Amino acid sequence: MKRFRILAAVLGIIAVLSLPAFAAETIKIGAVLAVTGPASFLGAPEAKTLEMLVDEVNAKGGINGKKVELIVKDTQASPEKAVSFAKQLIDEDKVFAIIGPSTSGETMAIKNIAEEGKTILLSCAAAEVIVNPVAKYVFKVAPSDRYAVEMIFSQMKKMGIAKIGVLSSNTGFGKAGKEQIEKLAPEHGIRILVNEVYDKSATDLTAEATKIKAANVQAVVNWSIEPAQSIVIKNIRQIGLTIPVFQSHGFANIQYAKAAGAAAEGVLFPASRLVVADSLPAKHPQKAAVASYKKAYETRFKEDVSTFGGHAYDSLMILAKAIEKAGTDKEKVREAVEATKGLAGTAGVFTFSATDHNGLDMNAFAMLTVRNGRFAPAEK
Amino acid sequence: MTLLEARSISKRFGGLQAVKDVSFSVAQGSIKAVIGPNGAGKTTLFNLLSGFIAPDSGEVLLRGMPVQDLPSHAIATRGLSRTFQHIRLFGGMSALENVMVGRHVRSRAGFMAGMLNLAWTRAEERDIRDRALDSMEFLGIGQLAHANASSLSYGQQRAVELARSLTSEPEILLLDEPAAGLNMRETADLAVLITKIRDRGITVLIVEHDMSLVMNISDEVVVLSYGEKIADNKPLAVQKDPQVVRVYLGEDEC
Amino acid sequence: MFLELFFQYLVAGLTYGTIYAVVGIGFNIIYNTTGIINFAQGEFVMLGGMTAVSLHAFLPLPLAIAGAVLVTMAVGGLIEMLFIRWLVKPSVLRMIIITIGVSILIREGALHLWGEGIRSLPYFTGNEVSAIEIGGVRVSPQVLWALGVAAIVVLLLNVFFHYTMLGREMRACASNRDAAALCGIPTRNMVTLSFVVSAGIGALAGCVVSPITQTQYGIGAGLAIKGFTVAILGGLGNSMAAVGAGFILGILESFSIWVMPTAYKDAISITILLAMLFARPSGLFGNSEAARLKEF
Repeated sequence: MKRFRILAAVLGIIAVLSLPAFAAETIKIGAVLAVTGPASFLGAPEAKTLEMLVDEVNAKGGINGKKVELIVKDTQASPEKAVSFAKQLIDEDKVFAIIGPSTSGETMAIKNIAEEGKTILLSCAAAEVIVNPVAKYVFKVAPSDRYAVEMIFSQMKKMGIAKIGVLSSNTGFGKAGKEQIEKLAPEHGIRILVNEVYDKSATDLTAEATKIKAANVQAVVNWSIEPAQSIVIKNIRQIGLTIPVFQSHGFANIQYAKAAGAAAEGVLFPASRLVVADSLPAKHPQKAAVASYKKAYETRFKEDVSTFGGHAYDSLMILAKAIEKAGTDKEKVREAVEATKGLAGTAGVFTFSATDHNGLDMNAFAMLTVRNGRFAPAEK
Repeated sequence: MTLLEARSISKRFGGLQAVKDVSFSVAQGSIKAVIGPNGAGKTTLFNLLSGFIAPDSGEVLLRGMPVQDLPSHAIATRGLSRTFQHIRLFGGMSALENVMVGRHVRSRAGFMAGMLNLAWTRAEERDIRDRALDSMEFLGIGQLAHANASSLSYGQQRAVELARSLTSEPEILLLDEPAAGLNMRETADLAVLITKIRDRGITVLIVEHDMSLVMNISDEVVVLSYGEKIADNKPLAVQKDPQVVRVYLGEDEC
Repeated sequence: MFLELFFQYLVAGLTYGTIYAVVGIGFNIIYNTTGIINFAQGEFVMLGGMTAVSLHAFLPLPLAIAGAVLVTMAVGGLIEMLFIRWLVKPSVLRMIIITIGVSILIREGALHLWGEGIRSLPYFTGNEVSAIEIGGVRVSPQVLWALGVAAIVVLLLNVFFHYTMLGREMRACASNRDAAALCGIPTRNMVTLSFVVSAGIGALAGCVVSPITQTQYGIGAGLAIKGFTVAILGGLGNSMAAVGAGFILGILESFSIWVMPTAYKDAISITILLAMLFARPSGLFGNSEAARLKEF
């Protein structure tokens, strides 16, 4: 009996001694993502991508010889959960950096927590407010809604459209897009005649489509990330409206085009080049990143890549490059992230600075359309 | 021949011995009454016999088969039907529908057949309707068939409940204080009715307060006092039993 | 133009109303036998749609729908037998909490089984852009399908509950369980049956609205809220009333969008409906006699 106790004590001491030594060999990265719940189409591919990349990185011996340990927290798109998970990751798990959250609302909820905890946050959400005003530790890799709106308006100019109807859902994404549209429209000489906000769980939008029809506009812009964005185009076409329909970059997931079937044909939307990876010319700066990510993801998970998973890819790549350059000092890595220049990711070519924590511009987007049920470049 | 038999059944509710070691039998084709002062355990006895509650010990035999452990719907299927002291009709359904439900134990149409409305289920439906109307006519409430059950008067509701029981063509009918709330003339009509039911070949077991009703129509009377049986005999003999006079009739005289 | 718009909004309202109604009907069956609201009803709708989409991969559409209805019916019966049947004297509150638990269980199960992707059945007639045009007013043929299915279901339920022995017995159970048992009705089986029928109706609703609303593991809750609302508004237990209330709610919503920003849609329609309920507390079409007998 006594022997056992001694043995147990010795084993205990060994375990305790080896723990910090083992911990020092790994880089802990937290991920706060909406893996399930209403925004699962964002969080699920993001989590899968991180899992895949971390396996890849570790299989190659880690970053600078240090293995990466990934801790994924599922927020189910709840800002409250995002807050408590962020605190847990910073205070208890003492992570090196946090990737995510998936949505703008959640990101804004934890912006200050990351800032106070002096922990790098690489958000996968798009809202402008995440990086404007700039917070020292907060970055985002998804292109701002502003670039998407500018892309749409420049396309409208080419098509001679000046009167539009705007639909958006009552989510952070919808609201942010609507604000950008309202702000930028006068600059582009565009008038908004109908401006409607619908519920995120809307199951039919025929009445809203009728309102658009009555207003005699030249085009519709819909801004949402819910299944409603497929429903709305069906309803618009069903009541006989044939005007061009623009969607946000939230449409860049083929399942929405599939769900809308014939109604999706001809829809115009700005999207990351990841979506049209195959038709990208070989000399395009993003070709390598886009093609390798797409191949790896689709081989492993047997499903199409989405731009959202791409954001997770970009986050981890930017972080990994910075750690490679600056070691494992949090402060130095933050500076290295901010000094990133000309890094080609899936969403665009990133060039961060002290005043720009998004590092992208309008060229992050390509104008796409749906042709024969597939995404294709829009004709200029 | 014995149709229903209780063998030493007992039931205790917490500290109260509601029914204690009671045995008696009901002969086929007879009218038997259970009497006793308030709280003597009459309603508990009825609940035990109809499977509404299970006895702590003892047996209930229906046609010689033990049924004390069966759920009440299974006992009903074996030919025992009852009415309640406090009327329990199906509100929101018409009087006729209430009575038709009573026929359940004899119907066989299932869900799919019902939905497909096969010829034989339609024939059965018509048969059920006819029998339900017959029962209502027999009780003199035929004209109430399409009235909402919950809009009827107290006496009418009692008649509907009785019709519901009759429509199941039970072997034995348990009536729980059927004369409660009736005036003298209505009680006299009820006595005639119960005799007519017996003449249809249905054995009747009745719990009743109204002594004149019980003594007039019963073939035999069981007397309960504080959950125990103190007499089980012909009405005239029971009336003369000194113990019964003391605990029951004597109490009335006080 | 005004008249055309008026009818177009009316059609939009009918579309909303049909979705609400066809989902709302399902609530009434279980209510009719047990007196409880089954909060997992929306999940039956979701299961029906999802199962049909999966079956449609290798079965023709009508068979896929029939299969989905049968599968969901089996799930409904199983749920009753696993979670509700063994309760001796379940209180209304306890049953409600159980059904909420069951709804979470089904939703999570569906997430694991099907993932978070959105799917939908093909349009029964035509496709996503086809519409039937009458004097400038256009309506998707799927709306007519849903309307037709709602009408047939209501008709069948009425026949079932009023003109078949089994239907009457289910009503008897709802009205007075003890008396029903003493009429020889196996009341527990009636409760199981009500779950089976409710699940079947929910699944059929899920299939017929799937092309319009699309289907995803989490869609049940959203659909159930409106379905539940119209079931209550119509006067619980009455399928025809649920359909009527569904149309009223849908049309109110649609016309409120005409005159006000969409954001106020729910506020306006619910305010009007609440006002109606103050005037008729037993539901728009319920009779006050029956309402007094209700436990919930």
